[in-house]
Order: sequence, then structure tokens, then C-alpha cells
Amino acid sequence: MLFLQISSPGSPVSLVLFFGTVGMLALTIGLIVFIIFHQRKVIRYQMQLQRLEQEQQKMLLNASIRLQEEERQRIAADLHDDAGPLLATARLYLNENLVNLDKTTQLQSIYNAKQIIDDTIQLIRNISHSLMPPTLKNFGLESAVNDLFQKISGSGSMNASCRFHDYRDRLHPDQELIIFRVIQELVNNILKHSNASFIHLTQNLGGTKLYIRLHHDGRGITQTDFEKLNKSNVGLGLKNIQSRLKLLHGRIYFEKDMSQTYYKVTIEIPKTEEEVQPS
Amino acid sequence: MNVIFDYLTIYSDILPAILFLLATSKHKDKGLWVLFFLNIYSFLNNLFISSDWSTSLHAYDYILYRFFTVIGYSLIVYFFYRNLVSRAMRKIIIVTYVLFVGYAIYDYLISPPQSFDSIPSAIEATLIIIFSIFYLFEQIKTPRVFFIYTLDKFWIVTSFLIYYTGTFFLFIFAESYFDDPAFSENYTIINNLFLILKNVFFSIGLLIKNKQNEYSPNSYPHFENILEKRF
Repeated sequence: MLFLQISSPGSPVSLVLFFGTVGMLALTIGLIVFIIFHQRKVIRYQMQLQRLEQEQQKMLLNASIRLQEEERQRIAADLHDDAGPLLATARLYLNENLVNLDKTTQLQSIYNAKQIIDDTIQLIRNISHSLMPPTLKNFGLESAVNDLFQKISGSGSMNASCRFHDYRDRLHPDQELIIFRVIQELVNNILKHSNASFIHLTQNLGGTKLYIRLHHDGRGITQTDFEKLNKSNVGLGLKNIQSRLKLLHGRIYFEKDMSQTYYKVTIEIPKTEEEVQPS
Repeated sequence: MNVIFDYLTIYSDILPAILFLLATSKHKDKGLWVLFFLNIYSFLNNLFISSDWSTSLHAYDYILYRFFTVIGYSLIVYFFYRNLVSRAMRKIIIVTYVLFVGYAIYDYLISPPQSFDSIPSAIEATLIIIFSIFYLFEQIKTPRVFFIYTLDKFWIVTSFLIYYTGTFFLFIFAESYFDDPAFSENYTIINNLFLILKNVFFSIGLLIKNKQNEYSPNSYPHFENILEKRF
């Protein structure tokens, strides 16, 4: 009734006004309806993304817990199977001294006990070094990686080399340890699965980021494989790498060389402001 | 009948103002305070223009319309300035506000004394429609609630959108046809209708208990924090 009154015949202005107003109103209502539905869609999509992210985080957390447990079991096994029997044997030799009064036998058993205790000390030192490499603690990441690669090369199974191009300022010890563990895990994977004949590691600085790149000529994985493994229940080591790098806000890229001969793994770690601006 | 409709329109401005005074939880929001003043001002302005004793001041009605355009725009734009997150958009608000006020003064100086401010009104409507759409776009970009219509400001912005899109063509034609009695009647009907709609939507917004941050995408604890504690 109202709009009939507005669109009275004989007045073109009223017609334009009528259709213009109705058109604008229709557009506005359409826009509001679209916003209501689209906003709900956006929230649903974000919630789905969050759920996926949470699931992945849960998997990463589980992986790191499992890895910690495995490490503890390994140390417990080393102590129980190696250090335990050695110390028990040393105790037996020392006990013998109490019952045997013969001087020569006593000296022999003390000597044997000393040998066993020396072996035990060496064993405990090895366990301790595997937990925290002394080279890393005292001389930094570059020396620790060099040591690791020399040991691999020394074994004769593979040619391993590394080159740090710009590592004058050391990172924080905690960061160095995390990076070293990631490198160790990657090298272990290459040794176990790739059947490669060489590994080469390079370190570079690019702006405020530190890059570490590993090359090898064996079988490897690409980024798609890495993401697939990360989402699945297998690939504990890779999940561990991912969770460690997350602590440094770092990234990892797995790719195949342009020549399709080599596999490359690139680790990208942002340097903190303290490290970027020397005091 | 028309007189009742006119009075209903004029007094509809009071409803949101009363609801705002009753909703004490919304008093802290400075953006809503300006809209309270807008409603009071709109009520007084419409009352003054439509009252019998103002007929002798008919020449000043146009000036009152012009004043209302500038002051009403200032108050609404302040609401958007307080509620938009984007810094760039806030700068745009300031710049366009200065330009708008400048143009409104210029239009007043060059126009005949008894003329409707069609161009400033059309610019005002266009700008408010743009800010409203941008506000709703921001709400989509960073959603805070699952149902956007549970937000009070959604209804307030919708009320602006409906009023200014509904009266857009009306304001454009007003300068040329305001003296035409048929158009004048249409103007009153359309303007009153959208003004009532605006006030109804505005009141719904004030009646809604705000559910801010019911859903926040950042409310979940980050994995890094969990890991940092474990290592």
C-alpha cells in the first residue's frame, strides 16, 4: 500500500525512487544474509583447521614423550646390562680379598677390580657423552658436527663432510643442542634408510636466518612424504625433528635436487634479536 | 493517520535512548554513548522541524537538515572510528571526515538558502555504507562468536546499513524535488519508515546481551608452550 502510494502513475521520479530504494534494500538484505552465512562457514572452517592442528600437536607431543621414554629405556638398559654386571664383578674381586689372605692373589684381584672399574668409568662416560656431547658444550655446534662427521667418515661406510661458512657468533647453548640433535637424527636416518655414499652439510647465514643444508645421494624423502609421515602414526624421528624445530620457530624442507640425483634437507632457523644485534 | 505515523517516527528515537540508559553494562562503551546522543539529537531535531511552532521557522528547517547531516555523520563516524580495528581504515575515516565537513560547508555557501543538501547527504550515506560493510567484513575476518547476530554492534551497523541504503535515492532526489508536494509526501513516508526500522534494529542491538569472545581462534594453548614446559 505504501509503495503503491509512492509509485503513483505519471511520476517518473517516484518510479526511479521506488525501484532504487527497493533495489538498494534488496542488496543490503542480501549482503547481511550473505555475511551471516559466510561468517558461520568461516568459523566452521577455522574450527576444523584448529582440530587438525590440535591432532597434529597431540601426535608431536606423543612422539616426543615416546622418544624420551625410549632414551630413558636405553640409558636404563646400558646401566643395567653393562655397568651393573661390571660393578658386581668388581665387588666379587674385592670380596675375594676379604677371604683370601694370599698376598699375590689379593694383588691380582685388586688389579682385576681396578680394570673393571676403569671399564665402568669409560662406559658411564660414553653414556654421558651420548646425552650431552662435551665438544658441543665446550666448543660449539661447528666442532660437534665436525666431530660427528669425522666419526662417520672414519667408520669407512660413508664419505661425510661439513662446512660452516658463517658461524662466528655461537648460538645459545640450548639452541645449539636442539640443532645438533636434529642433525644427528637426520644423519641417523640417512645412515639407516638411504644407502647413500656421501653426506655433505653446509651452514650459511641469510639475513636474520641461519640455514643448514644436508645433501646426500641415497634414497630420500620429499616435502610431501614428510608431511604425510608427520600426519601418520609412523615416522617418530621425523615428528621429533618437527617438535624440536618448533621450539626454535624453525622450519625444515625436504626436496630433490634439480638434477634429480641428490636429496636436500634444509633447516631454517630465525636468529633472535639478541643474536642479530651484537651488544 | 499520517500524524500518528509522524509521531511514531519521532518518538521511536526515544526507544533506543531509553534502552541504552537501562542497559548499564553497555555504558562503558564510548561508541554507544555517541549513538545515544545521536538518537536524542535526532529526536529533538525531528520534533523541532515537525512541531507547529516551527512552521514560522520553515526557512531554518533546511539549515537544521544540513546541521543534522554534519553532526549525525560526526557521531556515527566516531562510532566506526572506535569500533574498526584496521588502522588504515581509521585514517581514512579521519581524512574523509575532514573532506566531508569541508564539502558540506562549501555546499551550504554555494547553494540557495532554502535547498536540501542532497550531495552531502548522498556522500554521507555512501561513506556510512562503506564503513558498515567494512565493519562487517572485519567481523568475518576475525570471528568472535559463532552467530554474528548475537553481537549488539551487528544490529547497530545493520540499522545504519538499512537506513542509509533505503534513503540513498531519496536524498539524491530531495534537492530537486523537495518543493513538489507529492515528492515531499513520499519523502516523509520513506524517511519515516526507514527511521523506524533503524530504531527497531538499534533497540534489538541494545537488548542483546553481548557474547564477546565466546569463540576465539586463539583460545587454544600453543603446542610450543607445552613443549617448553616438558623440555
